[in-house]
Amino acid sequence: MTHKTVTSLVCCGCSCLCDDIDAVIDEDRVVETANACRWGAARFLGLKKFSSGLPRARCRSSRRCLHDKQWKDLPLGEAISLCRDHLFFARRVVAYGLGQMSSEALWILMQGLRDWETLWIPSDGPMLEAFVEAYKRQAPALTHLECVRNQADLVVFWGANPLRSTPRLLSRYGLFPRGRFTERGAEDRKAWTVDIQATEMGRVTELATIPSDHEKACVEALRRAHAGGPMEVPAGLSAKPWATLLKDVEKSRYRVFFFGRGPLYHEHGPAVLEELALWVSELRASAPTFLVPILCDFNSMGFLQIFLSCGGSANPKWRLQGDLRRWEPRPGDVLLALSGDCFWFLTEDQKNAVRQHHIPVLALSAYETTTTAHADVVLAVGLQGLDVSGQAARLDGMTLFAEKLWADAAASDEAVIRKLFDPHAEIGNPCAPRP
Amino acid sequence: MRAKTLIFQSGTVFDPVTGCEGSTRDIAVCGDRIVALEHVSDVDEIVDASGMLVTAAAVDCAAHVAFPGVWALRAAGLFPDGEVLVRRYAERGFGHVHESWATLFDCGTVQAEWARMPGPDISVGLGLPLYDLTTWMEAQDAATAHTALEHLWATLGTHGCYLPEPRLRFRDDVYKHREKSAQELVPFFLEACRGVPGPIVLPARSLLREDLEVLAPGIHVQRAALLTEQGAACPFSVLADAIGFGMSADLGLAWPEKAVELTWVPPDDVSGGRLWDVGSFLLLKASPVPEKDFRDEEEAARFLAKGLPEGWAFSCRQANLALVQDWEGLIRAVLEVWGVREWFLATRAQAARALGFSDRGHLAPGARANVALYREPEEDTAAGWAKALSRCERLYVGGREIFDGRRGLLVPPSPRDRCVGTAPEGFRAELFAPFLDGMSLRPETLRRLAPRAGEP
Ligand code: SF4
Repeated sequence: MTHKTVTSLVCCGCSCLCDDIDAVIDEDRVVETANACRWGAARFLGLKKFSSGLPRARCRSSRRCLHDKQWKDLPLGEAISLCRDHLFFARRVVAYGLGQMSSEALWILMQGLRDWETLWIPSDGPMLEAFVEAYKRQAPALTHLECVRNQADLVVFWGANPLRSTPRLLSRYGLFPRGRFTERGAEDRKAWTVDIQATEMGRVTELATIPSDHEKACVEALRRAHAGGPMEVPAGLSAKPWATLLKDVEKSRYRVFFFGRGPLYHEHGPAVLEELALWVSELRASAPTFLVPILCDFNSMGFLQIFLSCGGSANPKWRLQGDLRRWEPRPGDVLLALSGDCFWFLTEDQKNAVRQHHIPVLALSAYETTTTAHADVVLAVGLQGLDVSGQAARLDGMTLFAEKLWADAAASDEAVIRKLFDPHAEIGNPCAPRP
Repeated sequence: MRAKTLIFQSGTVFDPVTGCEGSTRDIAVCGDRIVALEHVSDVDEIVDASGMLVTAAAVDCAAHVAFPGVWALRAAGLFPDGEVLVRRYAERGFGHVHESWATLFDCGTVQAEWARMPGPDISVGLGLPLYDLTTWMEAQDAATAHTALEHLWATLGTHGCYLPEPRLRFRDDVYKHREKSAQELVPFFLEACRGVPGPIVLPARSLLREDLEVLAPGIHVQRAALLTEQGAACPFSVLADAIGFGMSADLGLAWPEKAVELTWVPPDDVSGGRLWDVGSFLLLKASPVPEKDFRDEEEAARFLAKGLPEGWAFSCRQANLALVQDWEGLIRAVLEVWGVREWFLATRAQAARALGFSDRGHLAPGARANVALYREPEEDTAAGWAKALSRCERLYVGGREIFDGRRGLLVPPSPRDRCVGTAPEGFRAELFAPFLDGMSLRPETLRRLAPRAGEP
C-alpha cells in the first residue's frame, strides 16, 4: 500500500473553506484527515455528512432516464449534448443549487445564460437575497475573517449556530483563536448568541433567547437604548440580558455581528436583517462594527460575487430568488439542478407541476441525491478539492483555490458547463495537480 | 511556432517618446512586441491605418476595479459590473490597468475578479500594511525582509507595492508604544525593496508634511490632486514642490459625475460611505464623489498646466478611469489646459513609467504591442481631439486585437497570461511566517493564489 501525506488542503465542506487540512492518501482515497471537523472529514473520507461512518453514494456515471423509468448510462459528452437540446427549447431556465460549484463554472454558466430568461435560486438563496436587498438601503461595514481573528473583542451570532453551519468558524476565526491583537484568544472577546431557542452555543457564548416574532422589536429596542433611550423590550421578555448585551457592545472596540439563517426561516427575517444592518451602520460612530453573513455552501459567496459582477441585478432577463418554494413551475421551464438537491426541498405541488408540465430536470452532481433519482439527465462531475480543482470564495469573500488530489478521470463542473455552451470544448479537468 | 507579424500601415503616428507627433508611418509588430520595420520579412497581416491615429494604448496607473468588497457596492447599485468597466477601458483605448493593491489575503479575490474581465493587461500592487514587516524591522534585518518580499511578490504575481500609509499605528492603546513614524520606517522599507520591480505607491491623502523628507526617488504618490481639498495633512502645494527629484505622482482630477471614490480612513472616521477592514490600521472607505470639476480647483488646474515636465501621470479621482462616463468631456477639459502631446505623455509613457514599466506606453521597438487606433480628428481643436480620442476604433494588446469599434470586445478571457509576474523557482513557506502571523492562513494557500501560468 502506498500512503502519502499531503498538507494544507482546502476543505470545501462549508463556507469556512479551511485551508489547513492534512490528509493521508492511499492511491485515490483519503484514509485519514487531521484538523478537519466531522463534516470536513466526512467529505474527504467519502462518508455521509450527518451519519458518520456511512459511505456517501457518489454519482459516478452520466445517464439519461428512459420512458419506462430505466436508466441508460451515457458518455458524458452525449449526456451534455442531450442537456443542450433541452436547453434549446427552454423558455425559462431555473438554475438551482449553485453554491457548491466552482467559481470558474459559475462564471461560464452566467456567460452562457446571459441572454436567457433565468430564475436563479441558490441553495443559500434566502440569505443572499436578503443581504442584496439590505445592501441596497443600508451600508453595514464588511471585514475579513482574518481581521475578526486579529481584532474582534465582541462577536455576536445573531440567529446563527455556526456549530451546525460552519463548524470551525469559532475555533479558527470567530471566538477561540489568538490573533495579532487578541493575544489571549477567547479571553479577549465577549461573545453572544441571539436565537429563538437555547442551542449548544450557550455553552461557549452568552445566550439571549427571543421569540421569533419579536426579533425585530428587540433590535429596535437595542438601537433606541444605544441612542440614549430606555431599554424597552417587548412585553414578556426580561430586559436584563439585552441590557448586558448592549453594555458589552458599547464597551467593545471592534464588533462583529455574524448573521445566520435562523431569522430567515420566518417571513419577517429580511426585516430583522434590515434593522440589524441599520444598527450596525449606526454603531460605527463609536467603534468599527461589521456585519457578516454566515453562508453554508462552500461557494455561495462566490456565486453572489460573480452574479453581481456579471450584471446580474441589472439583467432584465434574470431574477435572483431566495426561496425555492416560491418557484411556480410552468410549461417551457427547464430545471438545471446544479450541485444542489432541489427535489429534497420541493413541495408535492411543485413536484406534481414539474411532472404535469413535462419540465426537463437536468442534474449536475458529484453525489447521488433525491434530485439525481428524479432527473431526466444526470451529469456526473468530480468533487472539488478531491477529484477536481477550482476556485471558491470563503464566506467573507476571500477567494481560495482547492486543488485536486489525484489524477482522476472525473470531469470538473467547469469543463462540463463549458461544453454545455460550446460543443467544441474539450471535457477534462484542465487543472493538473501540482507536484 | 513562428510569431505572427502585423503591420499598421500608413497611419498617423502619435508617440511623443519616439518623436512622432503626427507623421505618417508604418508600425510593425512581431508576436507581442513592436519591432523595427526593417526586421520584418514575412507579414501575416496588414492593417490599413490610413485616416487613423496610431498610438500606444493608454495605461490607467491608479485603478480600483476589482477590490475586495466591490460586490457590496454592486449590490447597492453604486459600481458598474465588470463587463461595463472593461468595455469602457477598451472603447477608450486602454491596454493596461494597474489595480493599485491587493493585500495578502485579497490577492486571490482580486486576481479572480480580473480573470473574469477579458481585455487589457493587468498588474496588481501588493497592499502591505507595514505591520507585516515588524519582525524584520525590529531586528533591522533588511536583507531577509528583502528576500521575503521578493519571494512574496513572485509567488503572488504582484507588481510593486502599495502602503496604505508610511507609518505604523495601532488601533489598541496597549500597543501605542510600538508605533513608528515614516522617518523611522521608510528608509528600512526602501532598503528592503531595493531592486524589486514595480513602484512603491502611497496614497497622497495619507501623507503628512513631515513624511516628505523621507520620500525618495522611486516612490509614486497616488491621486495627488485630492490634496487640493481642505483638511489634508500635507497640502498639495507642499507635495507639488517635493515632486521632481524622481518621485512620481498622478493627479486624481475630479470630474463632475456620479461615482464613488476609495480612500483610507482612520477607524474613528465613520461619516457616511461604506467601510471595509482589509487588515490595515486604516479602513477602506467608498463614498460618493461630490460632483466637482477640477477646473474649479485653482491649484490643481495650475499644476495641471505645469505638471508635465515633472512627469506626472493622469488619473481620476473616481476609483478608476472607466468610471468616468463623460470621457469625451473630461479629455476636452484637460486638453484645454494641456496640449495633445501632454495628454499622450500623461496617459501613456508617464503612466507606464510611474508603474516601472519601460516596455509600454510607447511604440519604440521592443515595447509590448499594446496599440490603439483612433479616427483622426476632424478639426485641430480641443473639442475635435477629444471627440477623436474618446472612441478607440481598434485596440491591440500584446499584438492581439481585443476590441473593434463595430464588433466590440473580441477576446475570450485568458487571464493567466495577462497577469504580470513570474512564478517563483521554489516555494519557501518559512519566509511567509511573519506575514501570516496571527492569521489562520497557511503559506501554501498563498502559493495557490498565484496566477497559474499556462493553465486556462
Ligand atoms: S469547518 Fe467547513 S471547511 Fe472547515 S473542515 Fe469543517 S466542513 Fe471543512
